Amino acid sequence: MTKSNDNSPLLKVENLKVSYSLGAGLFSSSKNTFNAVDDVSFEIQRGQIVGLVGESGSGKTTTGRAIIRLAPISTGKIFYNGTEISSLNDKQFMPYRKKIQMIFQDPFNSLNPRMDIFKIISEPLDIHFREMSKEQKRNRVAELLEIVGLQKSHMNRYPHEFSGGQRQRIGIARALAVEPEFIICDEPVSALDVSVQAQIINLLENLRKELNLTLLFVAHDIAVVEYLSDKIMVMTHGKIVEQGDAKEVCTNPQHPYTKNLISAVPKF
Amino acid sequence: MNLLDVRNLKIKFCSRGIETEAVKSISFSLRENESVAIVGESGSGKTVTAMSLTKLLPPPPTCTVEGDIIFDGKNIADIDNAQLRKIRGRQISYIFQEPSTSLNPVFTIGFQIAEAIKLHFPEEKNVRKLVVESLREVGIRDPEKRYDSYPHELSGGMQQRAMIAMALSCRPRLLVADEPTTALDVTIQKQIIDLLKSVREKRKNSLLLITHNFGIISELCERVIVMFRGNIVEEGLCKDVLYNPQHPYTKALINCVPRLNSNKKLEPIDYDKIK
Repeated sequence: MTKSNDNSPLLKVENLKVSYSLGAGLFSSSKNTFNAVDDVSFEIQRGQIVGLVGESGSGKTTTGRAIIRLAPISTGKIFYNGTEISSLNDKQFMPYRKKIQMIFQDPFNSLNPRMDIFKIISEPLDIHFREMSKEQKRNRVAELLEIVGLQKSHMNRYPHEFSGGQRQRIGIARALAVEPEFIICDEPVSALDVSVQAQIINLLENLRKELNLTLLFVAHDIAVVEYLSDKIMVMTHGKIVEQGDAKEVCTNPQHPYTKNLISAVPKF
Repeated sequence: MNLLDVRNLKIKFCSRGIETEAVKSISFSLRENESVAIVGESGSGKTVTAMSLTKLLPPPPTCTVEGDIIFDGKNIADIDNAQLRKIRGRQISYIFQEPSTSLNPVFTIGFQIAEAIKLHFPEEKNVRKLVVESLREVGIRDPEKRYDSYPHELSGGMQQRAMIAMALSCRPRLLVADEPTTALDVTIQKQIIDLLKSVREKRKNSLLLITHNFGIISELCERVIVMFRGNIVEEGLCKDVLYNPQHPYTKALINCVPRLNSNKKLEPIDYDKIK
């Protein structure tokens, strides 16, 4: 783990709330709201892997998405490296889209089937590294493919030619393309076989060390989260009910929900 | 006598002139009231093996099945389609991985369960009552009301319960569960495992569980068969195979399962070392 002299957190979320209105149609407005994320606060230190665990509908994915504006923030503040990014306009937020990247759950739906691998991985470069020449982009994509354990000859192929694990590697390469500092991984291994899951988990762990990344790892499998994370946050019904050191939370859970989650993991 | 005997089963797929051997001559058996798991990765041939039991695979030339599948003393290969329909759902029934895609979205849950009962028990008068009972048995609350619910009105866990109700509605002797909890959260997975366990205690049906998850095997099965690239590499009692695996592939597969409160490194499988 990398230690930074700077003790201020890389990401700080204060009283984050994401609400959706229920039953509002085209001509009717509704006073009923549903709080997908309900007053959530946490901090992530530079170089940490923080696991966010919970069931479907707990708000864990929405929390991750709200950080990079893929979900609307209702109230609350998000600070990145000391700057409040939740109050920035879209133009001012642009540099943070480069610093913060996302890896998605389903490697089958998150890659455009009509684009070849070069196009998929280089698309973020078109936006954030406009000055790059085509040649430089090819070299960068080749380098990225090697980092994630694929071959540079793969860049001319299409997503359907790859297995689930390879596609997830492509998704990781795309996230790494713009040299991010912070990556939000939304259930990156839950659609994969155990053997492939182990490969991707080890890849993420190595990348964190080599590239000095900070990760928010969102998952429902607490065993996977414990393996990878320094710190764990447990979420249910839009609230974080427990957070702390990963080993501590798993060996000595305090909240009944965490205990329930741990007892549901099959043992052998 | 064995309820199911599979001998030298070979399954080949042929696409654009390229032949792929999905299953390369495997043999196994299953006794009455026994639960056996087939474990393996994607592509190991475990699902096609399960589907071949009631000829659910596409006909030749796309797919050719060789070998003997003896169910209750009869060779499945010799049975015509009309007879086979009496076995499917009645003697051998299935639960599939993804409940949201295996239920028909335009019919109610109750209608879909009733369909199976009407087919196998045409003389049955009170089908609705049977359906409501089977919904209650799998732990669906308010089954009278849920009878008229459409699949999209139910959560994933409830949909899987409805699938189980459907699979059990005709009291099959063999239940084949193909990755029944893979699409579900761990807490819901636990509920479904407990449900399958309690159903088996009551019904005494045999269970063939297809999965890549070692955790659920130990909770549900007595015996386990490990498949790798179309072959059975290891077979034995769960407690032996899980805690004292012999084959290098089984060892490797167990080593890549993350476990709670363990400091062991995860090791992805090194396929070059397994021959």
